[in-house]
Amino acid sequence: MSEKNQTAAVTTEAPPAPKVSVHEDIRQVLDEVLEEAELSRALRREEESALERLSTMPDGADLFKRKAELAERIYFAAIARTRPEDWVVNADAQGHTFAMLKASGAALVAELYDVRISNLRPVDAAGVFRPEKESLGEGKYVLKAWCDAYSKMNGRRVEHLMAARRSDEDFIGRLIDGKGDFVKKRQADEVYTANPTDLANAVHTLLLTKAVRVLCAMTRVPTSDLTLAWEKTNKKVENCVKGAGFGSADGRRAQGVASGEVKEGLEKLKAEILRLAMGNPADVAKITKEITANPDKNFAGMTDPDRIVQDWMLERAWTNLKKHPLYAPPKDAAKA
Amino acid sequence: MSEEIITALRSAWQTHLESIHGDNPHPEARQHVWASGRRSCVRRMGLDLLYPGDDRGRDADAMERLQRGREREAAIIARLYQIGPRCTPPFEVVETQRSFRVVDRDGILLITGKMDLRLRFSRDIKPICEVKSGRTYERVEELEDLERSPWTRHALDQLLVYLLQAEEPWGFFIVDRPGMPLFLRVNLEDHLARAESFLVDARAAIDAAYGGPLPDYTGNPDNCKRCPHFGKTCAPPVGFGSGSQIIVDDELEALAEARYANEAAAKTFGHADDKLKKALRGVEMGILGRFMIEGKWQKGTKYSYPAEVKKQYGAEDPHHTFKMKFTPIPGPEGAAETEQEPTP
Repeated sequence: MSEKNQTAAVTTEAPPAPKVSVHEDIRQVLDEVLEEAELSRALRREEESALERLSTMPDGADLFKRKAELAERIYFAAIARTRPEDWVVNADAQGHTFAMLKASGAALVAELYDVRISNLRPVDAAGVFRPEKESLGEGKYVLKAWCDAYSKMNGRRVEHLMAARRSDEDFIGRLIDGKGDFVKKRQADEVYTANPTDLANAVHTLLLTKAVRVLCAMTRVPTSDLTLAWEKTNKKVENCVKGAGFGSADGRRAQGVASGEVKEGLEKLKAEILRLAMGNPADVAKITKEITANPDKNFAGMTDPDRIVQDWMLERAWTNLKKHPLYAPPKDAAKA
Repeated sequence: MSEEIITALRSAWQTHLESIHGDNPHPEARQHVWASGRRSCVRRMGLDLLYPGDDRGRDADAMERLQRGREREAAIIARLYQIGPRCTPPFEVVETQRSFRVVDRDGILLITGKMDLRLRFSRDIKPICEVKSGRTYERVEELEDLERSPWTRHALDQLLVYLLQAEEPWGFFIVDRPGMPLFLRVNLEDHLARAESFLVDARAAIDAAYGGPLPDYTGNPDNCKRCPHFGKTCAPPVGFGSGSQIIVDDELEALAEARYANEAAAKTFGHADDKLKKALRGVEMGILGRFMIEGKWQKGTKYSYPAEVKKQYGAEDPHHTFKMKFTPIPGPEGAAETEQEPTP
C-alpha cells in the first residue's frame, strides 16, 4: 500500500469518542470567549457613543428623556442640511410617501452623525479593492462589496453590509463596447456594457450611501419629516426626485407640458383603463399601447398613459378604448 | 449660418485638443514612476502604476489648461533664447526636454522624466530650470507657497529629483504669472531629505508594481478627495469629519435662545445705526423728529504703513477668525420655537 493510500485509510476510520468531546469542549470555550469578546466590544462601543455618555450622568431618567430629544434633534438637523435633490421620494400602494437619501446627501448627514466606515471588502492579496463578480449570463454580471460601519453619535453599528450593482443598470457611468473603448454615441444595434472601473466605483458609492442610510435611519423617511425639517426654507418635497409609485420618467416629463384640461381628462381615462385591466399593471400597459397605437402612421403606441399630453391624443385614446374588445361600459352608465 | 460656424469651430477646437491630450483608451501599467508622479499618498503612487486606467475622462477644459501650459512653456523658452546673449553674464539655453532616468542600487528603474531646460552660464554653472504656469501658480511668491495647493505641492519634488540625479547643487523655477515671471531658487542641500523620501516612496510604489503589497492607506483623508483610484481600486476606511459635538450647558443654551430671540431686532438696530451714523457724520448738534442728536469728534491714531513694510509683518494664520452661525434645529419642538416673537 502506498503512503498516500495509508493516509486515506487512516482518515476514513471513525475518530475515537473521547477526542470528539475534547473538540466540543474547546469549541464551547472558544464560543464563550468569542461571545464575551463581542459583548465587551459592544459595551465599549456603547460607552464610546456620545448619547451613552450622557445617559451615565446623574439624573438618569431626565437624561434618558434628554437623550431621546437629542436623537430627534440630530435627526432633524441632519435632514435640514440636505437639499430636495438629495432625496428620492417613493409612494406605496396606499399612497403613503417616503423618502430615501441619495449619495449626494449622504456626506451631509454622515458628517453630523460622525459615521466611520471600515473594512471595505473584498480586497485581493495586494490590497486592491476588487468587488466580487457574479455572472448573470449573456455577458451581464453583478459586482458585490461589503463593509462595516459605525456612528459615533448614536452608537449604532452595522456589519457585513452589502451593496451590489449590475452591469446592465442605467446611470452607472460610461459605457464601453466589445473592444473596451468608451462609447461616444450609442448605436441601436450595438451591445454595450458598463465600464468595469465605473461600476466598481458605483458599488463603492452605494456601499457608503447604504451605510449612512442604515446608521442614520434615512432609508424610509416620511415626507412629512422632510416638510417639517425644511420649514421656513425654500426647500420643498415637491422638488425631490420622484421614484417608484410616480409613473415613468417619460410620463412625468410629458405631464409637465400637458394642459390642465388634458390632465383632468387623462385621470378619467386612466381610471377606466385600470378598471378594464382589473388593476393589473401589465394589462394597463398593454391596453394603453393598443389604444394609443396608430397603424396608419406606423406608430406602435405607448405603454405609459402619462405621455398623453394633447387633446387629440386623449380623444383618440377614448375612441379606441370604446372600440377595445375588453371594453364594457361601467355598470352605473349601463343602468342610466 | 453664423450659429453653425460657431458650433463647428467649437467642435473642431475640442477635436484638436483630444488629438493632443485625449485619453489613451488602453493605458498600460508601468513599473517606474514619472518625476511629475509624486503624490502625498504612496499607495496612490503604486496604484497609478498598476491601474492607470482609473484616471481616465479628462474634460475639454482640463485639456485646454494642459495645452496652455505647454504653449506658455514654449513661449518662455523662446524668450530665454532671445535674452541669453543680452544677459550679463550671458547664457545659453541647453538640454531642453532632456530625458533622464534614476536607477536604484539594485538596477531597478525608479523614476523617469524630462527636464525643461538648463541655462549654461559657464562650463560649471548650468542650473536646471523648471517652467510652471497656470492659475494655481499665479499667487506663488516663495517656495513655501507651493505647499498650499494640492496642484502645486509636488512641483518641488520634481525639480529636486532632477537636481539629485544631475548632482546639481541648485536650480530654479520660472513661474509664469500676470506681469513679470517669478524666478524661484531651489537649493538641493536645503531639501535633501525630501528628495530622498521621494526615492524611497517611489521604490515602495514600484515594489507593488512588481507584485508586492501596496503601501498603506494614507492617513490624511483629504488625499482621497481627488484621488482617481478612490472607490475603484482603493477602498480605505472612510470617515466624515469629527462629527457634531453635543454641548450640555444650560447657561450657554439660554444665551443661544436669547441670541436667537433678539437676532431680528439686533439686525434692524445695526442696519439703522450704520445708516444714521453714515448720513449724520460730522453733525455735532441737531434735531431729527423726536430725537436730539449730539456728536463729537474723538482723537485717534492712524498708522499708514507702506504696503511693503506691512507685508513684512503679515503671516497667514489658519485660525485668525472664527465665524459662527446659530440655526434653530427644525422639527416638532424647533417648529414651535420659531413661532416666538423677537423680544424688544
